[in-house]
Amino acid sequence: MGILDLPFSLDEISYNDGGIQTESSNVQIEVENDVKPLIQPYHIMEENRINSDHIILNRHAHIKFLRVGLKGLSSQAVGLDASQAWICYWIIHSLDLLGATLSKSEIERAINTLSACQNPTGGFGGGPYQFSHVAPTYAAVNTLAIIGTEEAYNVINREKLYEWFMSLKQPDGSFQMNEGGEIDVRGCYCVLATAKLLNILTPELTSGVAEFIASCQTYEGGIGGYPGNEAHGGYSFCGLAALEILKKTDYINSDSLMEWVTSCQMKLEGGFQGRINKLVDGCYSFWQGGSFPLLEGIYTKKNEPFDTCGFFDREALQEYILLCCQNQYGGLLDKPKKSPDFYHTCYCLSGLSLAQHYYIYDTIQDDFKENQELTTIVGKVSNLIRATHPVHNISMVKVKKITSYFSNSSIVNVDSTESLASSIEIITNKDKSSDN
Amino acid sequence: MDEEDNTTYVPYSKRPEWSDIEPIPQYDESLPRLIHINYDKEYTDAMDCFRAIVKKKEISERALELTEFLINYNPAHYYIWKYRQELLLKLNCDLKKELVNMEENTYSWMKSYQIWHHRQVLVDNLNDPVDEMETINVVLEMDSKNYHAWAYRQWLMTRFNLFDKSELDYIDDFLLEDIRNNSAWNQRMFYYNNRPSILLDAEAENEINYAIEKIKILPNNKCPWTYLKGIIELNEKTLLDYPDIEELCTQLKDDKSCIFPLSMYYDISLMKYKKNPTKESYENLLKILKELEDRDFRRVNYWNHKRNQLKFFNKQNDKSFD
Repeated sequence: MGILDLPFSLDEISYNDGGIQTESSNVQIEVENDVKPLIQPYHIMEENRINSDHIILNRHAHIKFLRVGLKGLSSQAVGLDASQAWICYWIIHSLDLLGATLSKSEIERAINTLSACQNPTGGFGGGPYQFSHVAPTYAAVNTLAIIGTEEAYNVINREKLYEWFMSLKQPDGSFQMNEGGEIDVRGCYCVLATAKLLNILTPELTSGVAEFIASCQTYEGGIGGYPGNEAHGGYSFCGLAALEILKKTDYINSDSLMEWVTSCQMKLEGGFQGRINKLVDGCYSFWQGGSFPLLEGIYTKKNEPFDTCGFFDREALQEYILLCCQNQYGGLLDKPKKSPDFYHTCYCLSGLSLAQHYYIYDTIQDDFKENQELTTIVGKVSNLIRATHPVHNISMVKVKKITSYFSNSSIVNVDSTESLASSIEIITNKDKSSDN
Repeated sequence: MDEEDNTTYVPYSKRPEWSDIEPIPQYDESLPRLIHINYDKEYTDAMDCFRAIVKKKEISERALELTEFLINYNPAHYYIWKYRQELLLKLNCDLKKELVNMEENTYSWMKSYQIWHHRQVLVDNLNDPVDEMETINVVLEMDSKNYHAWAYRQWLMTRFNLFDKSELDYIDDFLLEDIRNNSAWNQRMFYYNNRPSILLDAEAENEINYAIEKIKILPNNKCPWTYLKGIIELNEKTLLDYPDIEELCTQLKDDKSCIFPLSMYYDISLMKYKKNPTKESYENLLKILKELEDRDFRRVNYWNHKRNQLKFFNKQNDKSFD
């Protein structure tokens, strides 16, 4: 499939406004007009078509763009002052996917920076001296996992972090993003993904989360940020990935989620929109694309047969990312005419990784693994980047490494095989503290 | 800052009323780090003082003023917002005044999580929805799909039980303006799903007709089709209970430029098939799937999956029509 080899002209597959022009259709047509000239030269119906082998990922330009970011950011970046842990993640994860090796000094500097973002509560703030917040905590722990050295792992204070996570827990199972902060599905994902990597997923931490997430699935099939909110790609991924961590994906209606998420892949552009009747955005390559391996996992567990080809158009997504989202001087972007930034570079590349690699759910290991025979690469073979983990969005090997490192560490200092005993201990401790 | 400002601007750390404060720099400069933002010197100065204030847990008017200065520099600073909220509450400030003062900022920063959460905290403390609906209306007028504004509207409606019927007219105005506005469709579902009273059959009927009217205006629009399904489910019925809908799908399904009527026609036919599986209806289902696959080429794998699910149903029910 894909866009380029489809025997329809681009005009034939353009948006049909049915004679009713509204704001939504007008901006959609504008975007399509920006996208078409970028795709056209490679299209099957084009005379003197450029062979798709010439489509390349500007790996070196992207690596340079990312490394320049590590040297220094202009005063314009002040808006990211509370997202310094995120900048670390966006850049280091992107470099990792691109196969760049971090230098010793980069590793040391990253560890210094993230240590400075950590608070005595065990949580991480967006920068030094900033209150702990679950989103930068997720970003910081993921970054330390990518670095993958013992020194990096040792930055994390698991016991304190666990206590802090518990302090954010709400009666309905959800989590506040920070003390007194907003509550939405992002919090569930950030807490559980972090807790999973660090082996601090206890029954107390996970209780009620699946019910909360299920209540955020809307009549459209996708998941909103909070019960009643509109179905949205970012929250859908967070909700589904959190359920996967809980092994409770049966709490949502997977058929309606599948219907919704597949309908978000754009006909002409090949990328994804985040909500129905909104515009394509490169970052949803991951947020929406990330749902597919998880959905396949659900059908595998249910023993429902499906064809091993992926539920979405993997070629079309790669074509969108490679032809429409690359800045020639480095960095990736939302859509044509936009400027590149670290966030979009990270999530375009993560989406590219998911579209190239094929994941299957291994019911014995209870985790995802790659089936390399089904790798699909649009353009040059050298466009292949590292496989990202569909739940954690850090490379597969780094997930394995950190989970095995912490697999024998228990949160309450008892043998991890006695998880029942440990949960009882936590419950009794809790009772004691409430007596006081 | 322009020339003139530079000459008159006195950094916080140099002001006499701040002389008791020992500024705290963000980073220990002896350790090499990864992130270097080239901050304006006014910002660095103010942040250094802010860190000192937080360390002292100082609750004061000057701290309040400082948070305002910093928020204007960077509205995404969740922890400065949080400190400001604490200050406002502990200093017994007029929270209504704060809401009004933040009005312009709300319009400028309407895509930031923080400004909305700030309003929510204030309103929650006031225990009064004040004029928040109007503020939201202004934002939605500028950005009719603003996720934060709709979410805040839903919180406000739930918190203060604001499920007046006028909400439906409000939504209808959005759909008259842009029939494709999915946020407005979602709000309509939110209204029926979350108001204290249950959905009556007559109301469900009304909503179904509402969606059908919108479909007739523009069939190639996913929103009303999904809404239709949602309302029927909320009313604990199925598509089979509404012959009008099947009739509508039959009328519209052959228009090749659109998949939604044919897709719903498939759903209806599948439900019938599951009640009474015959070879003829099975073959008809396969034909519909083939047509959907042709029209909806980006989703070939999805329709193929529907075919697999159909075959899986046959296998489980010992039907072999292939």
